[in-house]
Amino acid sequence: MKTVFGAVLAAAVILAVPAGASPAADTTVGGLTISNPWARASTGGSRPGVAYLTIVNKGGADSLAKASSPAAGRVELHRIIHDGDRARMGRIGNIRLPKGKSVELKPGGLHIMLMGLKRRLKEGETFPLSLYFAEAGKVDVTVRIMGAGAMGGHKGHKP
Amino acid sequence: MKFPPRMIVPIAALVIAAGLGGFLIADRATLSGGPAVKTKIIGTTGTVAGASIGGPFTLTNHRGEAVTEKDFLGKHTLIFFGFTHCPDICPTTMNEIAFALDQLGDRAKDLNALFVTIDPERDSPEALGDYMELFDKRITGLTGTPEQIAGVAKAFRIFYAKNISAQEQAKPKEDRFYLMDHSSITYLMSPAGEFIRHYSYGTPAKALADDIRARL
Repeated sequence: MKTVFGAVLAAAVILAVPAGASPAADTTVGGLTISNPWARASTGGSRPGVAYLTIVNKGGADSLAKASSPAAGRVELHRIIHDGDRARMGRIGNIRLPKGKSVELKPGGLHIMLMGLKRRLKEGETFPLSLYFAEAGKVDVTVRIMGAGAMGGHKGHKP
Repeated sequence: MKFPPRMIVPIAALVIAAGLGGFLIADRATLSGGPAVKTKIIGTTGTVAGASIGGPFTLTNHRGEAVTEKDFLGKHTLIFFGFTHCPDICPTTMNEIAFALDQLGDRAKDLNALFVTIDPERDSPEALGDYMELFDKRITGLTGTPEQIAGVAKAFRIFYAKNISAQEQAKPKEDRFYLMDHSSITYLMSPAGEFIRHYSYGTPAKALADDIRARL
């Protein structure tokens, strides 16, 4: 029963956010500022989702240790390694946030992979994402869903 | 194998020329587009036309029809390799190609745009069809048997490998989730099916469109 309630609650949380939500405000915790959390619309079936954001660290050294979301069964931190013309994707243990630096998760580099999506991520909707920092602790952000091929700055191609 | 002394100089010259040819391809290919990603050209055959990339293939398009390389002759062809469970690299390339087709306007019809899956296990014609719908219907998805995909990948010198964690490997086959590592470049082939150049991952739509327009 508990699981069913949890699933319903998770669905309600995802559904509750109106379509076309405006960009989320920056989230600041201690020296960390998290801005522009966005995701690509997912492409259906068992295909994973992907989320990006920018973290500015004006405080002491920290690291992003993990992330979780009611929208996905499993959330992992990944990076693309470009080796010549080859692109390899790999899970990483954490994302280091050096003191005074800005770290951008963006297409072709660092990203948050959302596996086992509970429902399709649709453009214009949003979903909650929890970030767990080694020093700053847990921070909740709202992720805006853009087009399937969005690059963050623009919405992506319309078929 | 021993060469008579008077043959050594011409052979050495030939080897050096072949090497330079390879560099020429690399330079030509990376001059425009200006992507931030460092890319090495694959294959240094010494022929500037790069005749060694491409070749015959038989595949199935996303409408379930059998096609060969001959179906795409007569027009320039953009071809790249990926998989639909790819969340980061492939949607980016699909997106840039879709926007490049927009920028080409009416001239887009003079170009084939092909997405060849390197994950035939999951990418059926139907799966590819759904994927094209999400990005751009002008892009043709191609799949095949694992052997057909291995053949076309070899012809185009495309690297691909299954990327699966030990944890997933331990699961029953139908429950396993995996990614694919793969070459992330896009090729431009001539109407005769010959290699013209490649574009590195991350080449923006405008750079793609400008370069292609000048060649059509």
